[in-house]
Amino acid sequence: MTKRRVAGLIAGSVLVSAGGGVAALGMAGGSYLQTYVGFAVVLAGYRAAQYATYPDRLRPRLAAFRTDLAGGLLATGIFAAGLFLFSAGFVFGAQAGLQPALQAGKYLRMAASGVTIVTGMLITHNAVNGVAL
Amino acid sequence: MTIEPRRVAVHAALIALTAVSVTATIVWSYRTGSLLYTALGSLAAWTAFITAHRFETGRFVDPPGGDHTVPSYPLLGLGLLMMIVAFPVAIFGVHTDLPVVILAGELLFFTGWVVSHDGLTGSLY
Repeated sequence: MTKRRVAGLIAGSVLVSAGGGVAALGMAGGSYLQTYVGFAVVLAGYRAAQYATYPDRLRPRLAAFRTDLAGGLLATGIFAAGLFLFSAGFVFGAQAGLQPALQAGKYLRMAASGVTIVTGMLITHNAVNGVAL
Repeated sequence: MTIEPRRVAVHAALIALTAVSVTATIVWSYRTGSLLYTALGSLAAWTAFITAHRFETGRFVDPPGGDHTVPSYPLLGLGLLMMIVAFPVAIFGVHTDLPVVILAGELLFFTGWVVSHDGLTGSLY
């Protein structure tokens, strides 16, 4: 493994860890923004590790963004929407879990959070890697 | 596909370690509110996950782009269902403050991940 790959993996791991920590605290505190930012940092870390490992596979994607701005913006928008669904599902699910009483409406919210998170995850993963899982 | 008991055991142990780490991160988030603890939990989960990934595929992270040519819809559907159900289970664990229930949810999620991935792409990751 080259130094570049190792450095990229370490840098990516630091970002993933910090982002995961921030997102977890955002969920517990009920902050949609903090959770969203935390998961965005996680994905930035993943991308950093991926870029260090496969630079030749990612450079054409970046170049395509410059030549097809509309397509690039659309892809970014889809990514942002998927990440929003993913983050929001965690926050409202966690908040339902942290409330003192667990009633029928909360079970519905908990189930809805599972659907929302997995849907957001599939959209985001597809936007990042070109495959839903 | 040949099933090798040692391989399955190591892989299962790494996935279990990932689930335990995520559970610790969740529990620490609402019990301590400490960024240090939650970041350490995330680091442990990430390390266990990419180690499992490398164990199975020979690489820590996948290249961009993928293959949908081996879809097994029953496996894909089962995996997705497991991931969806995992969250209410984990949330119930948060509500009752029972880490073992949160862990059950996380194990369900990561098992669902590899099952659905296998259904969609023909490989566990």
